[in-house]
Amino acid sequence: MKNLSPCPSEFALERWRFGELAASAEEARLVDHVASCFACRARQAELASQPQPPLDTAEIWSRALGAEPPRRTSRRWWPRAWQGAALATAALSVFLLVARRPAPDVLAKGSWQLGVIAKGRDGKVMRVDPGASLSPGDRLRFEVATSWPKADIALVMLDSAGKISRLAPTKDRSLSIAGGKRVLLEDAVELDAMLGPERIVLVGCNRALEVSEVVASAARALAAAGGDPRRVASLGTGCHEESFWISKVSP
Amino acid sequence: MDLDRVYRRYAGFVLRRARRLLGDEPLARDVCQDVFVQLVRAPDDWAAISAVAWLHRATTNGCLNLIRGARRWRDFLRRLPPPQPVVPSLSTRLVLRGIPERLQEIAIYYGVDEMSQEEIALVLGLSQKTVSNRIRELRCLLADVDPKVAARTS
Repeated sequence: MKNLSPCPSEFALERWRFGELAASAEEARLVDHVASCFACRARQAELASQPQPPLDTAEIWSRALGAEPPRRTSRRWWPRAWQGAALATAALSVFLLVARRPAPDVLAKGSWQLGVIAKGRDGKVMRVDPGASLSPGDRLRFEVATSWPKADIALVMLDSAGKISRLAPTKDRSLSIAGGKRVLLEDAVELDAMLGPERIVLVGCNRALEVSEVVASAARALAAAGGDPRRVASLGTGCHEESFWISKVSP
Repeated sequence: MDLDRVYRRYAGFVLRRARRLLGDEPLARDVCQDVFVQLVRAPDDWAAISAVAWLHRATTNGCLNLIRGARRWRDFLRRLPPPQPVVPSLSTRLVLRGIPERLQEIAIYYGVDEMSQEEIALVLGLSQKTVSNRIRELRCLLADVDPKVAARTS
């Protein structure tokens, strides 16, 4: 039987191949056409046989996140005890200096900010951007600001193993902060050995929060996102949420 | 994002498209990597409407950005293979000749990929009416290059 319908575009064939037209009228038309069109069957076979480029996602992640060059694990951080003590003191000073340095941007009315300050195992301290590559053993501190007059906050971290960690406060009642200024939280956390993406979520509310409820909400949201912290859009707490994700990689 | 999984699934498609538009393997591999770098930075719902459409557009723009540079443009023209008679579409070079930058992306979809207006609207996130207007404008310009293409109904 002669096929009178026009040949589908390669775009349509690709969408079909990747299952994007499943159970649609377009798919039915396409199936009918390809069944009776030798040229389209040949194109379809050609598309299916396209060679796969080598898998090099490490470089892609590195470029996407603007990561620093890989750290040399063989490097000795503290060659001698006295040098170690001196460097530790210097690093602590820088850490406190950077942590207390206000971020340059202005807080807009009704807005929230969550800042993350990291201290690497090499003692380097820096403010990090969302998506930054960090390593197990790096220590994090958090800075929160809100334009609300006051607020109660809780900070949790979701990892790709399905674990929810309380970052601040460590007790069960949420932490009250005053609005209009940046607050450096006292709690610090050391990143564990689990690699992969992690999401830090700040929950801000105009009432006291039970941190265990925030943790339970985070566990539900992570499960709903298939265990991928990057896909968690909201914890569904009914409060304001600010989110920040990092990528934990081997040092 | 499970980048490894997404890469394994779609990298061949992206590379093939870049290779088709650029006719150059090393440049196509560069574009392929650029597309996945963009993907990592993209919102989580990048594939909400169509993963193929998102990647198709990102690859097209990656190729266009590459060939818009004056120096590379000359190299690109030199490297392009002659159009194959069995392929009904115009070559990228021919389609882009004399086309203003704002219409180049749609020129690729229309002239090289022979996509329908619905498909172009999906990829660009525009209404079919807007796409139709731009294609009308494009056809007037393409008529100077190849009347057969200009006459193609979509």
